[in-house]
Formats: sequence, C-alpha cells, structure tokens
Amino acid sequence: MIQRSVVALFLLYLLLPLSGILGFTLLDGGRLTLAHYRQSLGDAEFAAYMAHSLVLAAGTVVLGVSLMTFTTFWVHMRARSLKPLLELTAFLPFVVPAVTLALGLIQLYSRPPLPLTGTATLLVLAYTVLTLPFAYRAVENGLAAIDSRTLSEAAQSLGAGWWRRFLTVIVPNLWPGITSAALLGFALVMGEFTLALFLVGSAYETYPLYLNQVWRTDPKYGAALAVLSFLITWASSVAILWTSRRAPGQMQGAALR
Amino acid sequence: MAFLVLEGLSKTFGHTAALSDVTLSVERGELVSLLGPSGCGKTTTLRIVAGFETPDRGRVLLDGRDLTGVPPERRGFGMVFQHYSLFPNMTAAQNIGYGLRVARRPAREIRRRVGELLELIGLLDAGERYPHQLSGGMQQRVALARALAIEPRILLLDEPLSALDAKVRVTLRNEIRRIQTRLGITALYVTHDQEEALSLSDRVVVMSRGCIEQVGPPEEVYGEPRTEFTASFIGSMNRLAGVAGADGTLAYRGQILRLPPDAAVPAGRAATLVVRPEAITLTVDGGPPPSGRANVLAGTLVTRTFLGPVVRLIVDVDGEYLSVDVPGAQRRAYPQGGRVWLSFDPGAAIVMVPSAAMEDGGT
Repeated sequence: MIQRSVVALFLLYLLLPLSGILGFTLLDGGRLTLAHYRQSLGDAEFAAYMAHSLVLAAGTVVLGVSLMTFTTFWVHMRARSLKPLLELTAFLPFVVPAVTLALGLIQLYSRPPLPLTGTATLLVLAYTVLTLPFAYRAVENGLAAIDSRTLSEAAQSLGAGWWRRFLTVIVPNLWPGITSAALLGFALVMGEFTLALFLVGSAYETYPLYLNQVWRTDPKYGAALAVLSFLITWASSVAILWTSRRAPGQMQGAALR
Repeated sequence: MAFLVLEGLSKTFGHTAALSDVTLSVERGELVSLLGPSGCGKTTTLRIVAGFETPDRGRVLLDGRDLTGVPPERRGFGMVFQHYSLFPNMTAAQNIGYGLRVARRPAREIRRRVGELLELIGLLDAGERYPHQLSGGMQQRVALARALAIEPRILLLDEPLSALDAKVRVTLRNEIRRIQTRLGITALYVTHDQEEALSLSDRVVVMSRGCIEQVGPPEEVYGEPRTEFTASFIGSMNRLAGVAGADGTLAYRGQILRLPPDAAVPAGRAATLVVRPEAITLTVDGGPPPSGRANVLAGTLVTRTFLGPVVRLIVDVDGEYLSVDVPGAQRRAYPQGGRVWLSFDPGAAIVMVPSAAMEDGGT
C-alpha cells in the first residue's frame, strides 16, 4: 500500500506539469485541437533548430563517451595514482556554474590561436565537458564490476595489443554503462540553454533557444514545441537503448556478476 | 640448456621484497609447480614469466633467448587465471577462438581447432553457451582450452582451481595433468595447495618469503624436506626439538632419542628431529615399551580426528602434542585418555639444525 502510494506520488510529481502543458496545447477556447502541433509541420525553423540540437547531442555523446571510456580505462590500468585527479576533474562541471563556464570559454576562445566562439564546434566541446561526470561514473562503475584487469591480461596473453583489448574485450563489457552515459549526455544536450545562448547564440541556434524565443511571442505554440521536444528526446533515448541492446553479446557482461 | 630458465629474479614492491634471487630451470614438456603460502612470491614469479611484471634484477630465458622487454602479447604463453577470466561478451567457442582470431588464422581453421579443443575438454555441447551459463569448473576448462588454442610455448596456470569446490578441483586437476601430458606441453603451475602440487607435478618448487626453499620431484620434497619450512608446509610433521648429545643422540624432554644414522650434529647443538605422523607406531600401554625400535616415547591419547582413510591421533608427550596417523579401521583400538607408547625408527626421521635464518612456517 505504502509502496503504491509512493509510486503514485512520484508519477504525479513527474506527469502533472507535463499533462498541464499538454492540456494547455490541446485546448483552445474550450475546444480540443491539434492546430498548434500542425503549425510545427510548416515551420522551417523548427526543423532546422531541432536538427542543430540533434547534431550537437550526437557529436557530444560520441566525443564525450569515447574520450571518457578510453581515459578512464587507461588510468584504471596504467596510472592508478592519477585516479583521484581524474575523479576530481570529472566532477568539476558539477561545481562550476554554466554561466561561469561560458564566460571562461568566451575569454579563452574569442581570439587566436583558437577563435571558436560562435561555432558549433565550441559548443560540442563545452557539452563534452558537461557530460564528463556522467560518463566517468558510468565507466568507472563498469570497470570495477568486470575485473577489467584480468580480462585485459587474458586477452593480452592471447596476443591482443592495446587497442584490440580495449575494443573487443573491455568496451563490449562496459556497454551497459556506456549506454547510460550516452543517454544522460544526450538528454542533457537536448535541454541545455545557458551555454548555447552565451557561446553560440543565433550563429547556430539550438532547439531550446528557439523554444524560448517562440514562447515569448506565441505561448501556445511554444508549449506544443516543448511537448514535441520531450517526445523527440524520449524517442531518441529509446532508439539509443534499442541499438545498444542489439550490440553483440552486451547483456552477458551485465548478467555475469 | 633447459627450455625455460629463470635467472636470479628479484622484485620489490614498495618496501617489500616479493622475490629475491629466484633461479629455476624447467625442461621441455615438464610440469613444474610453484608451491607456497600466500605472499611467498609464486604468483609474482609466474607474472614475471608471463611478462606482466618486470623483474628488478635477473632475466627469463626461453630456449636460450632472453625475454626481457618482450611484451606479454608477443611471448606466446597461454595463461589460465585464478578467477574466471572468460570474456563475458563471448560464447565458450568464441572465447577459445579469440587468440586465433587475433592471429588472423583462416575462419575454417579456427572452427576446426575450436571444435577439437571443445572435445578435448569434454564440452562439445557447450560451445554456444556464454560464461555465465557455465559452472565454475566448466569455465576453467574453457579458460584452459582458450590458453591451449594458441599452441602456447609454455602454459602458465595461476591457481586455476582455487575458486572451485573440492570435488571439481580433484577431477579438473587430473584433467589438466592428462591434457598436459598428452600434448607434451611445458607448464608452470602456481598453487598454495600441497596436495594439488604433489599430485600433478613432475617437480615441485617450494617457495617462502620470496625465495626457493627446495626443488624436487614430489616424493623427494615430501619424503626428504631439506628445510624446516618445507617440512612443516608439506604434509604434517612432528618436531621434536632438543639438544644433540655426543654419540648421535638427542636429549628431548628428559628422554634420549637416537638421531638418523647419517646425521652429524656436533654435541651441544640445538637440533630438531622431524617425523611424519605416519612414520610413528602406536602401542597401547599394557606392558613394557615395544622393543626393536630405537626411539620410544610415552604419552596420553588426547583426541582422535577421523580423516577418512586414516585417523589422526593427538598424543600428549610430556606437555607437547604429537600427531600419529593410524589406519581408519583401527580407530577404536585406542581409547581416548589411555596411555600409549610412540615408537619410530631413527631412519624415518630427519634432523634439522636451526640456523639464524630459520624459517618458521605454518602448516
């Protein structure tokens, strides 16, 4: 009974605001309508900015997760003494506020040798930093769970070099962790506002920026876009989960220990 | 020259000396086990041979070639680990074929070889199963097959049976010996289990505190331990510590015992007479001490422990507990608390003269 009430409260907490927005977008003058959703079909900006966000999210996930998986494994195997440093570094993005990070990055990248301010590249790099804590935790937990040292040594005794061991033995067994890191990173980028506003702004407008802009002029359409954004992020997450489930043999790693 | 030679290996971790000056030769086709308690340096030795550790001093030679600087992946040594080290994301067959895929062997050859190996380890039906669907014993069989698949020049086994239960352990160790003999493969086997080492090795290397105590065939290491550590670590031993007399005798707790005929201990030196429990004969004290055997002690039977084929009796001899093994069938012949005679042949005992560097080993 208590369990059920807790779950019900939790769902209410999560779904109430969403259903509020949903209701707001579906009702117009007391009548049910899909007009605000239909509006998005003819909206070229909607498609373009959504595409921007998806590209940024994909780039961030690929870069952030592969960087952190490799680094964490390398430190785990070869440089144990650096582990506290890595842990600290990986958690810095949690400590530094987004605005501070943005201002710092603008200072650094507004002039040569790397004039990146206003480019999507800088945004991907900044987002990669933001996803490090998630990627680090997920990979580190995975490494601790599979006795990666023994697995790596076993592969090594069978003739496998560093990259081969990493790609054929370590990565497949870290797959559940890598997947969750990817999901978190993806969702993070799809909803990120501050860095996008400060670093790139209108030069490479992202979906959250567009949403903010629409919301001011046309609240009904803005709310509909928010619901769409939620659905697209959710569908993408399901797609990531689905592809990773189909990766060869990945679930065995999770099932063993 | 021997096939595998370890030459003066030394290794220190932090301030702890893990190995000091370990030298050993292994002949082609031989199974040599490294036996000792945890922390004796046996695993470090194996890991140096595998290439996972670099010795501070000394070198490893294979067929006369120095392996220093050759990374593990280029040594061509198969290794079986203590913990299940199968790749969880691959089936048993894929695990076995891994080394062959790394070596870019043709797919057909890999399939054939994997099939042969699955048959060799008796798991022909289990090829498509994942490690978590196999029992511990089966996993270690697959790990063995995986190491053998690359036709290793040397097979290294790091306590491969220690995580298994007793019955599987015995079956599998016979299996390992059978396969090793059949393939004529040279093997180095690390274990802390003396029974395992004695039953499957051509030679046993007894190690303690980073040094080799004794190297020899199982019978020799068991029957003629050369150090007190070997004596106490392998099998059970009674240690009768006393002072040597002038004419090949030992004063032990107010009684005079004869030392083995070939022992030459200067009078007045402290010496220990070491006797295996099965070398002592027990007689119920109903009359005079048994004649014909030179060394006789009187004692009281304290406890009996049934060990299956034998019963171990603990006898209190003037405050010191000695162990005596008698056949299990005779266990009722010796009442607890009864007076008994212990007798043994001086020739069945070994004398140890403690030195400054004497080891004090456990059992």
